[in-house]
Amino acid sequence: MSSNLRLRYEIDSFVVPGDRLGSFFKTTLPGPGTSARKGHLYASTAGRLSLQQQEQQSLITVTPPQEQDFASRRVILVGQIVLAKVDRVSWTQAHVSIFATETGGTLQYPTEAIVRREDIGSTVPVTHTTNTNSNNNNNKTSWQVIEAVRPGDWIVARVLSLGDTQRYMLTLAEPQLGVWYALSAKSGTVMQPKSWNTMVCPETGIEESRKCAKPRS
Amino acid sequence: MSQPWLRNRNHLFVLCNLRTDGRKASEIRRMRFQMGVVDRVAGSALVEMGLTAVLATVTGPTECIRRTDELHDRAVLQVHFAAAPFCTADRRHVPTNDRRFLEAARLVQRALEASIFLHLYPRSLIQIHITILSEDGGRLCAAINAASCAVVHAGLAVKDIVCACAAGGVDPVMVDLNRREEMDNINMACAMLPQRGTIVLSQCEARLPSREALDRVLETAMDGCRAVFAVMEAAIRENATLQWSSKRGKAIVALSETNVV
Repeated sequence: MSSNLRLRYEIDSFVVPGDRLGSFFKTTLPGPGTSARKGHLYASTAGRLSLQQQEQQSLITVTPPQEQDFASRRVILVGQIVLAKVDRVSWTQAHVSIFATETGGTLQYPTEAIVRREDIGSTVPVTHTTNTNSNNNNNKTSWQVIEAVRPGDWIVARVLSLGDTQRYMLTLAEPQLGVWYALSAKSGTVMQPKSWNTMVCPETGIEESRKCAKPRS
Repeated sequence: MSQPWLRNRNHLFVLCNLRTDGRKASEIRRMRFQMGVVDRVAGSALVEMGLTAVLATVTGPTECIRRTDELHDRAVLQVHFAAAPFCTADRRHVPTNDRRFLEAARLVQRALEASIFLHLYPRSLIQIHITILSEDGGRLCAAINAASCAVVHAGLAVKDIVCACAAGGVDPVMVDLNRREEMDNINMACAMLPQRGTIVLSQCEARLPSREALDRVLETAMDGCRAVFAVMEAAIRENATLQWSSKRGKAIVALSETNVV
């Protein structure tokens, strides 16, 4: 694979946008930071040239300096998992600010989103729920917003839609989504998830109701 | 020479076929690039071409301020053009919606849209703020150079680094005119993608005497752009190297060079 790879710049050297890096073949493909035109690879950002090996192909990428991650990853797409902080809570919805996306890292500027009450999930234990988007939950089995999330919590949510002119719409209605980091109301220490609907403070032992995200193994 | 100011001081320059600031016809002014001068924005650049100094900052990609402005498949590029009141010899406050600035902003926007891969940032807004700090001719070109540097510093994906330079005068055709020369001669500003050889902007407000004159002026302007590119590319490369090696992150690079076409 390295025999038919001929780059005009050495790996780990610095390239500027517009530099022609070489030709690309079926096995060496343009990756992030590069663009292809008429069979040739060009750098599109200023940074370090690197080669990423995948199973059958290798990707040529140009990585910008570390504190500027790829700008294209800062866009929020539908279906992405995002990390958000709860700002305020009302009877029908929770207002959150999205700070980071799973694939893109931290956003430059946090954006507003809401989680509607219907999108938090059902209060029936998680193992019984098969359809996360089911609308046949009556009021008794859907969460009260204040019992699911509280202001100041950090939540992991999935983007449902681009929403209206002011905010995205998120959902928590999956087992791995929910509150990920919360401070106890009384003692201010970080709480630990006890079950899918409870968090407990390790210092005082007081339990608080939250829709907890399933811990990643 | 009929101009009195030439007769008094610069007869030596005239004898040697030099311009009033001692340059040859094919010589651009001393250029200086500093990237990363503003802290809280995605990218910034301060470009000096001779005595003309322009600061450009790039913010984005962010959410559009008004959602109705956003495009579903590409980013919206907004350019704001302003001049500091101290940029000319007499201090003057210029309102932001001055017609010349709106036109200049539109030209910078179109020049950069030809280079930035906007389809990679759908439903986003990229804002470029350009401030003229000191004006001595060639402000549109300096603005495009500054915006281009700031865009590369911000890490946005571009096809090529946009370089701009002006050319003018009939005989001889001069490159990179200063303010005095701009007032007396025809002046064509030209921006191109130097490695691809594509012109993304050419603007001229005066009448050219013939078709051949247009060819000559355009050709000279393109040569000037390539000279600007040589300096800009070195500055960007050095800045990228410094940023990688510095622990804290953004590094300020000052690179000054004189270039002869």
